[in-house]
Amino acid sequence: MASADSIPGNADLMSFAMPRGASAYSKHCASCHGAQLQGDPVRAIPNLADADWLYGSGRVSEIERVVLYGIRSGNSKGWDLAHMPAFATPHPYDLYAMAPLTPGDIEDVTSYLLAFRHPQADETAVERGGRIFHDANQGVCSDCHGFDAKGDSAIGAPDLTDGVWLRGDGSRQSIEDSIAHGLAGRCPAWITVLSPVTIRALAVYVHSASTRASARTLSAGGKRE
Amino acid sequence: MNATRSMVLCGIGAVAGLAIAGVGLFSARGTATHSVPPEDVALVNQRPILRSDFVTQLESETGETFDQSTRAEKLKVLEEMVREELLVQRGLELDFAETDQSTRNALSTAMSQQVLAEATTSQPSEQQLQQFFDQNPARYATDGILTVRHLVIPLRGGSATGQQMVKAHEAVTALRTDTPAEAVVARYGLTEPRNDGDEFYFAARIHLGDPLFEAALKLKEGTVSEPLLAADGVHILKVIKNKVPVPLTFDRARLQVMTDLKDAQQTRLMQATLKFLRGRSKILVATDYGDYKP
Repeated sequence: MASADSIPGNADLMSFAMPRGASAYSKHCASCHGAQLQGDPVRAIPNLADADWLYGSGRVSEIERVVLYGIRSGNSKGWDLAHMPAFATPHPYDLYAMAPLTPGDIEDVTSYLLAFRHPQADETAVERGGRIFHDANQGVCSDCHGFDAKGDSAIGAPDLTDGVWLRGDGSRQSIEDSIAHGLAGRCPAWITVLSPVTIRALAVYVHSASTRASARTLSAGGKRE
Repeated sequence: MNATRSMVLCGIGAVAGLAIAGVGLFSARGTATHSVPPEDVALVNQRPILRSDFVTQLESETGETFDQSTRAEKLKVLEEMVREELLVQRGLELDFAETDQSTRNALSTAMSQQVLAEATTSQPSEQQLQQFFDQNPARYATDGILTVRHLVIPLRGGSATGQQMVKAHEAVTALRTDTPAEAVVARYGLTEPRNDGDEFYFAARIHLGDPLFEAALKLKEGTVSEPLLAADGVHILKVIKNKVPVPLTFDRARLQVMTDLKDAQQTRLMQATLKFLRGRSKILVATDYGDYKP
């Protein structure tokens, strides 16, 4: 029995899986993730074709697990360890007590994040934002996103330094909106709907699309965004 | 002779048939299949252990990929999963759902999630989103921001003396002539419970309390309230900034609309499910709780 991760290296298995995976994707996934797997930043639906993974590192077995059990799907085996708090609300997080942030705090944290890629005019705002980002009693951002803000794929916390934004276009406004109102995207669990063979084929198809996108970026000589 | 022989053979056949049926009925082995489907790594009394679950469990325990794991590690994890399945099956036999509170909690939570799963993961149409947005315009606005200096002359007995009110009016006049709040506090012996700078409306409401917050909202930026008498003190508000909420466009509110719509769908779904369950159930309530309506 071939392991899920060995399938991309086996031409026969790939030729079996790809058409089935494409068909299942078109029927069950494209309505959210888009026909070209491009996602939708307006609705915070991740791009599946850019090799940037919120959960895991993009191996077929990891994608298969997401398809099987979903994300915040209600299935107890699905990914549901954390979500982005809504800091402009009285109770930002429903799993444990967390203090809201002020409008100024949110602006400062946004300045800190923007400074990873573009120098900010107000350096003191960046410093204040950095302190809040790392403060264990206030923003607590680094608890999930990591001390270096590069995220944690074990809990689906995105890298905030790489210019890839799950929601919005990376503008100040869209980052502030995410901090203010939070995020908790969901993906259904397909284990009770699709057969194991179809689910694995679907995972192979998505993995293949992502791998092609990575190869294109590398051959163009550019750094992946 | 032939009739007797027929009867004996018939009896033997009947006994053999009953024995086979009995084995099938009372032993899991009687209905067992001997091959494990390709998607499973084992069957325990015909209950599958999925390969996908096996891989996830293995990687989570070893911190390595499946291919990096040793045979011994794989067998160890398989043994753990078989053991778990055996214990779960035994728990079901002992009816833990009826007797064990933690099992009941887990079942109740899992059932709620199962009921809500459809609404959780459904993708509302643009028309549904737009309709919900149109029906709930007050929900979708930018966050109001208030910056206010809040000065207080504390009262002990709940009523202000004439001298305290005079002092409060003088403080108001000073603030209105742009005397810095710090200087007013020092000159008139006032207190300032907190100065948080910009605050979202909800936070300002919590800090000020409803009456003072509503009073602050009525003030224009840069203006100072009259002395406001309350049980705990005479309050003076100077509004530095009041950024009122501005309605959002549908495009900007879309994600929030979707979250709210799904929350509303989940509430309806859970209510409908409980209504259905109550409708098909016979719930008897003790006479001393006769006022409870299931």
